[in-house]
Amino acid sequence: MVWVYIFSYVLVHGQDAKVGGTIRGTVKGSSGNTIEAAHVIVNDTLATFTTEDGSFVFEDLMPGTYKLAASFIGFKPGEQLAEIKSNSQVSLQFILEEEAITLTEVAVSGKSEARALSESVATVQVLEVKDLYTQSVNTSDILKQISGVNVRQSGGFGSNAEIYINGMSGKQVKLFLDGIPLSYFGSGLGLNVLPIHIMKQIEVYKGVVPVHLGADALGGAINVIPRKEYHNYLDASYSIGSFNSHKGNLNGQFVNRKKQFFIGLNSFYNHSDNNYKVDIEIPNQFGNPEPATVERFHDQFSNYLINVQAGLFEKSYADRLTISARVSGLDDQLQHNAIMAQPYGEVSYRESTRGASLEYEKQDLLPHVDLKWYVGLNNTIGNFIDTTLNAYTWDGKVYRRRTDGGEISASRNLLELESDNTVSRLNIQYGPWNTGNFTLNVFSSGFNRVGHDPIAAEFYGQDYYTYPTKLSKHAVGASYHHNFSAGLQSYTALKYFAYDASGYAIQNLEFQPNEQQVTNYGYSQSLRYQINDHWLTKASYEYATRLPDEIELFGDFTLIRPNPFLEPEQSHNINIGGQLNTEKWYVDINGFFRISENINWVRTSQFFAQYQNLLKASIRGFDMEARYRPFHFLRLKINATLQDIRNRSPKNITGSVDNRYFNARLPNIPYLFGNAEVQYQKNDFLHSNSTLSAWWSAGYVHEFYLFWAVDGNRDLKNSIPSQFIQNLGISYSDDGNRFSVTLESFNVLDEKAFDNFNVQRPGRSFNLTLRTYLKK
Amino acid sequence: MKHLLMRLTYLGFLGSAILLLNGCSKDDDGDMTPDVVEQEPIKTGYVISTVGGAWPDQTTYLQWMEDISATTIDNSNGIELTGSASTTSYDGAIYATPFGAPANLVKYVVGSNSIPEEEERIVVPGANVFSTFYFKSATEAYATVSGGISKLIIFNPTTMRITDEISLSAITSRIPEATRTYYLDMLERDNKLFMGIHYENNFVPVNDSSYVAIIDLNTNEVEKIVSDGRTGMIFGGQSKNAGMIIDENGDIYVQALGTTNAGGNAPSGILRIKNGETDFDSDYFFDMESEVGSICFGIYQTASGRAFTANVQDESDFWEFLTGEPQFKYVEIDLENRASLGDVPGLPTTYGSRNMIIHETPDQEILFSIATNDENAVYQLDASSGSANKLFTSAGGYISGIEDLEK
Repeated sequence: MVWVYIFSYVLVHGQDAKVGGTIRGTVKGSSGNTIEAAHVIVNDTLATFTTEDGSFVFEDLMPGTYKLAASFIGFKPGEQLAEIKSNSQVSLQFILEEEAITLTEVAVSGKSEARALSESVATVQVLEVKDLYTQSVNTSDILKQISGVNVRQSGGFGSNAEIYINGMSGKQVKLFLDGIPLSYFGSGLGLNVLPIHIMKQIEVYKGVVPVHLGADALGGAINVIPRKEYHNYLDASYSIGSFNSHKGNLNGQFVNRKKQFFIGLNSFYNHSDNNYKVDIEIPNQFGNPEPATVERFHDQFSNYLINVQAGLFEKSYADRLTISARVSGLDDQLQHNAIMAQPYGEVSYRESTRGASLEYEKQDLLPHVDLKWYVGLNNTIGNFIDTTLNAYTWDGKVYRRRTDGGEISASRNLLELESDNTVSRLNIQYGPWNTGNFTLNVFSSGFNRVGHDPIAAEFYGQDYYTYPTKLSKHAVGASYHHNFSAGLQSYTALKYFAYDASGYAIQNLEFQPNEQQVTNYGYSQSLRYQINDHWLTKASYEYATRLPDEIELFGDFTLIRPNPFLEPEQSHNINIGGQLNTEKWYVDINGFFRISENINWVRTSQFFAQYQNLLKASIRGFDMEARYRPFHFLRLKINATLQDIRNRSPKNITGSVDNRYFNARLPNIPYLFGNAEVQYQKNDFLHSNSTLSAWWSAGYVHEFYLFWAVDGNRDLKNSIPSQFIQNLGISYSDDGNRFSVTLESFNVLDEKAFDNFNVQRPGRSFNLTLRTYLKK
Repeated sequence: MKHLLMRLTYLGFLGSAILLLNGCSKDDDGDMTPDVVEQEPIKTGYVISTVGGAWPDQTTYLQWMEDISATTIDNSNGIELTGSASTTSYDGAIYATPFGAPANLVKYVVGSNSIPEEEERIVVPGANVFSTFYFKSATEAYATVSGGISKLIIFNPTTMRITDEISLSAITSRIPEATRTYYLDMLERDNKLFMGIHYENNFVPVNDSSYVAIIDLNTNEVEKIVSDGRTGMIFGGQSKNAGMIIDENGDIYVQALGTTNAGGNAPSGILRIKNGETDFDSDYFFDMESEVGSICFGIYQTASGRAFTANVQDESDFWEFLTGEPQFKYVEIDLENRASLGDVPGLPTTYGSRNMIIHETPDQEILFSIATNDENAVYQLDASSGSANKLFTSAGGYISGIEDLEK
């Protein structure tokens, strides 16, 4: 830690020695949100604006009493007095009350960026995460707290996570990091393992995906907005927890405002043994299973990121020009199969990615034309190792040796795959008039993968992985956003997708080159109407499409056979919703309806599997979220989602001889779930600028069947039971968030938790997080 | 400090209240454990297994039926397994082999409430599924697993305890270039176990030969492996233990799939191992591909000596992925004269991939399972007309097992 403090000292105190006193503070709205760019003035002479986290600082003030005033449009201004003594520091906090201001005909109310987005024409849920920086919570855990979103994991930290948005899941939901598909960054940066400390906010788009997210999402998208701050800071945190979990984050930035230059670092390292206890069975000497409770023994997960970025800002030729270089990776032990019946003792996956990117942003590059451009290169090397002949039991012992076959694959694998990808996103906005704005978004990516596997080659007779797979994807989107009046907004979009892939298939042991071109289009229309200061309503429709990927088209060269005739998946997505915003209440209700066609699925047989796309489904439901802040110190939140997914496939494509399953609810998908949270916050707890927070949160998932409800004896059906998982936390921060300590307990009542059938998730765990956030 | 303690006390109270509220919700549970009354299991009637569900969520249901006189069955009284499973019956119990590691052999008995109940399981970690088994007596049975565990497991089917193992490494080492060895079907004669073997490399047969391993149950060792190049790929049938039969003379007939659909030249056919012999009968080969017309899969013989197989209609769609249509017909064959007696009259073309079951009742009625795009049914061969008629249909999925508990 010594070097961290040396770094922080240099960063924060490395410039001229200070004389006189300092006034630090933050400006927040009455709902607790920090206000960026609020105007703060001292004695009507010395002024500044708050930074992204709502903070401000005045230094070198001579001893005396000062009057500070904070203001921001849409809020009632606030005033406070501060007394400065020699070399002293005073901390203040402004809480500004929201108000509606009438400017001739236009009413403008003060809103955070997140709230402005959530009240925009987009069907989006926005979660600001900076208040969670002091915690050890995983991204997948906080995604679960968003209405309409469910995350199902197959184990502990780092395990596979499937994200559902209003009933859509898997490849139908796309994940982005600042508008770039997350998959391009390598799995070390998967959404389930991405630390929140590098994020500013998470945006969940339901049903209708805006064109600036250039990918073929069928039913929604999640976009993570990273932190972009223009001040010096050092943000370091370390968390230690149950199951030998360690999470370290080190983020910092040096900004030279005179030269409009910055250099920054984002880094993290996470590790967990995931050795939580599970109830399983171990065969005795007679082969009969006997119940036992053991610790998972082969489930360690680690991932890391080191990202260095440097750039210029507020230049005449660029609002922001950034170049980044990055290394990231993961090391993942795999513990068991899909239903946690067969433990694995040695199979593992490692991946490392090196990448670089260039970002350019400029408003008014031409009159009324804004431009953003991102280009990135990534090289990823993945190693899947499944070589052992040992068969393990849940006590970690070798039961016996197989004569052939690995723990997962028939061939055994010592596979190394190297992929290079390039990605480019060009976003142009043109606002020829005050009431309208055009957007053109062009996304292109190239992917080239080659590998080798000497052990599989021995099994198959040749090394299929040495043949390259190439694909390029293009997504072009154009939209027009129009304000018909102060209340009525419209967003119209057209999308075009093209896919060009060249790979190969193995048919009767023969190598067969294969090439595919697939194109499709989509369109959407969204409307938003602000009824009055507190009420607004939204409606949207999208004809969405998703192109098949390379695995679906070409197979995996072993068990999954190619299907060059796959059609794109399509979905008609409709949303209707409304919002209530008052000083104390926020209520959001969204009804959704989807009709999806040509849904891809893996059809298996005795010897192989193949993706086919015939299934149809409808999704109807609603999600709601209500937040209530009766007092400044207390926040309550509750949300609930009902998603009713029904089979609409005709009998001849379901393997059924009648319409028994037509309009039946799809099994093995949760359909009723919700969350609740109570948060208590006491400012000036021990002294001014110290804060104590405590919270209770809970998640509920209603029982759902593994198979179709219409089949079998109702009393004896396999199901994933109802669960009510509760968490507790307490956090203390001092000196305006410069130092904080947080203690959390997840699943505090140690309930048995399942996201998938028979796959147990961690029981009660504890985490202690220390964080320091130094800024200037 | 006092200030801090007061606040911590307050928070502690808040936390305790939450815990208390949660605890209260469980107060009503009480002790609902019923008194356990041991009941004798039902050992008469049938257990029908069906595979219900729409793609991709399908699974197996087991249900008891007093008889098979109903015209329609469903699965509303069936227990739900967690995946596809084959079944067989022995001594009033059902033995199911659900697919997926670890290999499980699950013994079910029918409780007095008419519901099949799991009695005990045998588990083999590291293997995928029990591939075949043979019941010699109520205390001795044999089983193999697939997935790289080269053992013949000897177990007591009454107690469901593994009693011994026989190494099958002599079988796997016979063909070193084989990357995978399948043990498919076995039966016992003269205290020797005859086991069909399939060697493959990269999912295709290593050659055009058929292999049968002979295991001496006196010494518990692999005695020898016999091979024959007239046909290849001994691969069982479209249901459990449907690749080998023994006739009233004690002759063993082994059906092979052939390799013509897997890049080879060996036709689908039947080999014989005569009573008292441990080698293939060089004078006997039934070239089914020529005589029946195309590849045949499986063999079944009735108590009266009638024999049947399944014959694919369109060899290019053997696995029934391409056309979306069923591809198999039941065919009666004459083993002695090595001839086809033609399709069983009255039976529609059925899906082989949805199991093909031939079952003979105690009163020697012959039943055939049928799965088409329009019906799942069981047909019965009418002895007088020689044609099959529909016995009952299933509204609960296709029939994957017809098990007579008294058999």
